[in-house]
Amino acid sequence: MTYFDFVFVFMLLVNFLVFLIALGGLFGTRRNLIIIFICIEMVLLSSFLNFTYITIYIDDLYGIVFSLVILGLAAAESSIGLALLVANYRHKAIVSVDLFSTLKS
Amino acid sequence: MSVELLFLLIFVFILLIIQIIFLSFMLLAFENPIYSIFTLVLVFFAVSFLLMELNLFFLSLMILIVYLGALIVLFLFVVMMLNIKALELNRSINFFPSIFIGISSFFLLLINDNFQFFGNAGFTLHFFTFTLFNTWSALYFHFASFLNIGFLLYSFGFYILILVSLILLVAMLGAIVLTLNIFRNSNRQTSNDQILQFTKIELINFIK
Repeated sequence: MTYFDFVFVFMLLVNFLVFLIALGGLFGTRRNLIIIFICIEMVLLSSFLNFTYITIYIDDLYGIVFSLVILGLAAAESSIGLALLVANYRHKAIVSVDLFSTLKS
Repeated sequence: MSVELLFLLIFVFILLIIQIIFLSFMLLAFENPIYSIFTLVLVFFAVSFLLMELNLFFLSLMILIVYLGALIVLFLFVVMMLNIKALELNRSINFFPSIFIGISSFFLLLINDNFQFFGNAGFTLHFFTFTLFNTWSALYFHFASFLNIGFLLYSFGFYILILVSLILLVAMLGAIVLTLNIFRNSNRQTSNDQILQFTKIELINFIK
């Protein structure tokens, strides 16, 4: 195991830690929708960084292309989610997730 | 690349990693969502500097443009529009400004003139001012990654580009359809009332 391999594994572990922190924010006690969208952004950011490091490690440029795909996907996701938030906030002035269960029978 | 420069590079690398992890913890600790959005700004700054150290300039600039220029502004706009702060609990000790100032001073340290952490070809952060490039060969060497990514995207990976553009089109149409005001009973902005509210006050002041 060379020095470069060590740095690579260390960076992957760091990304995994960021991913775990974001998952903890998603399923934690916070019930605010904006915090949940921020945590989804962090999850996508960790996957983005994973793609870039693997690009550097195996010396292939397609990883950068896929990280650009993730970047566009994050933009689409957050725009749709914030539009849903605004549309829900109009009918009842609530941001908390617990009180969104109007589709339940 | 000399040994001292390599150690300096590794030092900055580890500092940026610590900053990313610490800030992503702090992001969940804040009660007010606007503070966590500002810490998200700092996380994206750290990630863009990290990618700049790995000589991936295109991705670091794309993070600065897309995430900080579009997504964070969208989040801030929604938080401003919805007045969420009224629903949140008030924290007695506010330690956000000290963190913000400390970490932004770290970024100021990075944009120092004598701080040379890119070893090859005498490359410093003079990059932002474009004063260092005396020869065209050095300029070509540093923009080669841009060129390769552009070539790959527009020749072999064109279907990916079209797919992402279709996804963005669907997202744009979905956002427009969701936020369009059709229903009568929804809370909407009535501009007549807003204008009349101010004109009444102005009229009262004028009469007085």
